[in-house]
Amino acid sequence: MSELAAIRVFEIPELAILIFDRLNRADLAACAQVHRTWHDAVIPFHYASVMIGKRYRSTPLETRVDTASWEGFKKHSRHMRELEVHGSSIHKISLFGLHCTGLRTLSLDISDDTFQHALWAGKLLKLISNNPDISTLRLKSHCESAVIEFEHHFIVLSMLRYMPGLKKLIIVGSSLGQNAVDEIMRCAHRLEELDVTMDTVDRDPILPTTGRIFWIVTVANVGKGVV
Amino acid sequence: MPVILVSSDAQEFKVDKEVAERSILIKNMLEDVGESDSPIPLPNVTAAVLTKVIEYCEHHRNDPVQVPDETDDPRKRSNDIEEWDMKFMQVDQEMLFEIILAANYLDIKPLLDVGCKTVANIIKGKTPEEIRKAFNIVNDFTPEEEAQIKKENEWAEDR
Repeated sequence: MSELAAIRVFEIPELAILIFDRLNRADLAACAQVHRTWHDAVIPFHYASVMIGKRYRSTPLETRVDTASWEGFKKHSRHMRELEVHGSSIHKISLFGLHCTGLRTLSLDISDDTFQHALWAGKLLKLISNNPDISTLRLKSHCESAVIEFEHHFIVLSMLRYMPGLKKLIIVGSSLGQNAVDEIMRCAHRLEELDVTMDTVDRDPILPTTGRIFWIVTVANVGKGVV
Repeated sequence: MPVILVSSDAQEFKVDKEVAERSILIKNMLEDVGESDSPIPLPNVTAAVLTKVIEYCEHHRNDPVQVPDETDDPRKRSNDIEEWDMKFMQVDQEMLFEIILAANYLDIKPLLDVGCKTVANIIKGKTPEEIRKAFNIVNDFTPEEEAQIKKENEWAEDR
């Protein structure tokens, strides 16, 4: 027991997490530089859930990654379990490389034009097709009362074809057109849950024609209805 | 009926059963053994640390069972520490981490929480060098390695 208790605590992952859980991103980055034991304890935690880009209606707690070195992401992408990308940062998505082997949840902001461009450029498709274990996809839109229609969002929906492990699709800020629902059902064969959160009630929610999935419609500030 | 606890350095501590049972480990041991006055060995805890832990358990002997402090975002969770606990935690840094290790081993969740909150509060806003100084940690990175790690994690410093 000659080793410092300040080191031994960080050799026990459950204890390290109790401390890291109470720190912000900058503090975690500082911890990584303190000592090898601290570094090895903090890195998997630090990279487990990453958000890049500016979020619409941003909160002071979020991490913004606009101009920075990306080396950490390239090196530690295997620890990533959740990735959230906003706005124009989406073109940087290729930086996450091909080996985010632990990635399970992907959140994308689809209201920005750059999203379409990123899809066209194939970067996003590459990320998706290299990570077939992504099981949750969250699509956010901050246009008021936006409707996802098959005709306008066919690229977004066709993306689902490349996500064989997708079990849960969450759509925030938009409602779905009937043909979009049909397309989702066609593309995502293993989908178990579809959550739609709308800002306004400007149309009746469309229900899927099959009873295959668990369907949740939430209207902001009104409540939740489960069908 | 008092319970006798024996530290790793063979010191005996006589404490009320109610106090000893703040430790879930000891509570379970007592339940397994049944009524017995044989001392309980705690090979992972020194007398100095056990003294502190017993002091904590004495003070909190009548606390209700802790309700888990769960909010949606762990980062928004309160790091507030009540006054007595704050004073209790004003120990040297080695003792602070020893208390955390002992609280983990003895399974005393509220003490573990207070210890981790205290450490987190010390770390907050400090540079790596300031953290090392606060905890008497010797830097084991080469300057090159340190620069590399700093560069890799720059994205998180940009606030």
